[in-house]
Amino acid sequence: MKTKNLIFFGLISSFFLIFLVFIWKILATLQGLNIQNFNLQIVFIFGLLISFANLRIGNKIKIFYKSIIFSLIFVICDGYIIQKLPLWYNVGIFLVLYFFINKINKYSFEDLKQEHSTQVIFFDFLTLFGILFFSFVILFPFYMMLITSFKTQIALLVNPLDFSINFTQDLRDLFNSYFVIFKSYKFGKYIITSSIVSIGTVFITLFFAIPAAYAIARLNFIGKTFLSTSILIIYMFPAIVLVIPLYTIFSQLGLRNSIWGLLIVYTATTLPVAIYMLQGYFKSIPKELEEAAIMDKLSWFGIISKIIVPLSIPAISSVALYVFMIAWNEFLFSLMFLDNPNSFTLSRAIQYLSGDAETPRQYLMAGSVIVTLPVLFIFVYFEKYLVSGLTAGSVKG
Amino acid sequence: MNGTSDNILLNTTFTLKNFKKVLFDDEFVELLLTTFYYTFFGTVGSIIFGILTAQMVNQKFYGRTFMRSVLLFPYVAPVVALAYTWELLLDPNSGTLNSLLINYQVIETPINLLGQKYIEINILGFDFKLRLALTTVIMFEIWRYFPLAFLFILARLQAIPKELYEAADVDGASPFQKFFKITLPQITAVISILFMIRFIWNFNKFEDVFLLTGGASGTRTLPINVYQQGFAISDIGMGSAVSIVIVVLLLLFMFFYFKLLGKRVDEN
Repeated sequence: MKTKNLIFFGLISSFFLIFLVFIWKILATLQGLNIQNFNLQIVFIFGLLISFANLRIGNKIKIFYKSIIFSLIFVICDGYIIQKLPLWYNVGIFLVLYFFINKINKYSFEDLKQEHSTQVIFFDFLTLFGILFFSFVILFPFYMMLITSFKTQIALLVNPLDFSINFTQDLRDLFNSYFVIFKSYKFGKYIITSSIVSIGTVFITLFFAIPAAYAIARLNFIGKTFLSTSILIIYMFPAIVLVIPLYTIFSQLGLRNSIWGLLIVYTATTLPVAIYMLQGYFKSIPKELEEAAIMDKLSWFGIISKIIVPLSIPAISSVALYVFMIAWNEFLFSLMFLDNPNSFTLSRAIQYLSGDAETPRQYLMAGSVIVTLPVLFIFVYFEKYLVSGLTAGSVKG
Repeated sequence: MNGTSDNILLNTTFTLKNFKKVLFDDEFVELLLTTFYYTFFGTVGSIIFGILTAQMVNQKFYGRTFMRSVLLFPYVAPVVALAYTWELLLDPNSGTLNSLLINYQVIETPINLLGQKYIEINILGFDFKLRLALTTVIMFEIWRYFPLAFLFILARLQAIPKELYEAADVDGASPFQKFFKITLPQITAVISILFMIRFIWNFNKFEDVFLLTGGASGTRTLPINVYQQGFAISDIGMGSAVSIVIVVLLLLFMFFYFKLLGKRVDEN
């Protein structure tokens, strides 16, 4: 039983080490290093040796010295003798090894003897593996987007694996793609259009959603249940089905290629989410406050503007941020309704840019960075409000 | 010269010709199958990844809140930017993925992941024909939408009472048993809701496929067909007919889903 656990521990920790080294080697290759193979067998053998030696030594040597000694041995064998790689690569691999040894140090012979120890070890390493795997898989495209926007067409074609940025060059050259898309492709105008449409949608949506949500949360009227269920149905209703009727109607009314048309559609699509999220919050406000206000002969408008709105600023701002993000990211309607470059939104402009096969890819990526940054910034900055809202109302998409 | 004509939206001549053309088209079965593959595997994949990541973030580790926001990035970023980044990543000529694979000698010639309809795969002596472009599009779909499943499942996981796990520890349950006997039964309700929401939304997903492949190389789904009929060929009538087919299929799905769900609730 004990040997089985021991072997399992050795295998799984060496696989974890392989994965760590694998990711570091990919990142190093993308900095222009010429690494043709991973030497995974060697890493595997080292992983086995290190994990067994670590178990054997236990706490006889301090963890700090132990990690440094093991890491140095690995770096000298792998980095200098076998592959002859530059210093920065070896510093990285040293840190990777240091991290690895600190992770495996918490297991001792006693732990391995315990019941279910293989499963505990398996889950521990699966969590570690998952954190690294998902961070890599998610962040890599964003990293690529950013780096590509700083490269030149020639550099991208000569060596597509070279992701290093030359910081010694002139700032003007570094940000060249951004200058070009603002100058020749009029991205400044698109940013303004996108901002007007998104912020406009936020205000119009809130203007209708606050009274509507209040009515659903508090008032009794005929057809109330019908109204609140139909809000959910509209929320689930597919946008692609609405596109054709809206297109024909907008063409006849002359609303295509206009900001007004977009404002109408975006308000209609975001209103259900906004009402749904707000009415849940309004219901949680104690009724007594409003009863006191009714005694003071305040009108409904007064109650909403003097009591409800000031009390629900956090909920209203999170709804506002959501509506902004939905309107800013929206693509389907802007593709269908806008075909005149003068009224493009950012998303539509980037799609238009890519339609021309001649457009260099770094311009496309610079545009993508511009459209992504505000949304990610809002999201990271207001994350606390937004996450609770996401599960409560959830964004359509 | 002056002339007047009826407004086409206001006259009362109707025809069923468009529906006949949609339903009895040779490619209709193929279209339905593609849509179904796309929807089903995209939904199941995003839920599986959602369970894995929620289970992961539910543990304590350094940088957990940061990890939670990173996991939501694909869901909140604009689809246009993400789709074009993926297109560059997977590009056969100088895309990063193909260059990496060639550099490490995994493959010899680049694979056109978004432009090749089928790829022959040999597993244990059996030859499979995998829908390559469709699989790639499904991968993008899973990558972009698993955060929603992650958030819902994480919220549910954090609401499971700790006493259940403590009692299981006393009884000497293994981590696997704890997961399958405690965690999984607690999250089935939220998973079934997620399955429905994601199934409906994936069924209508247009932007992702349109931006990645434009519906070429075997990735033409029903929503793409609406666009192609209505705007590329400019046959508004045909496009509307396809839209109606989508609505009917969705209503059918919801009907069976609620019937099945109602039955399950009765049994318990």
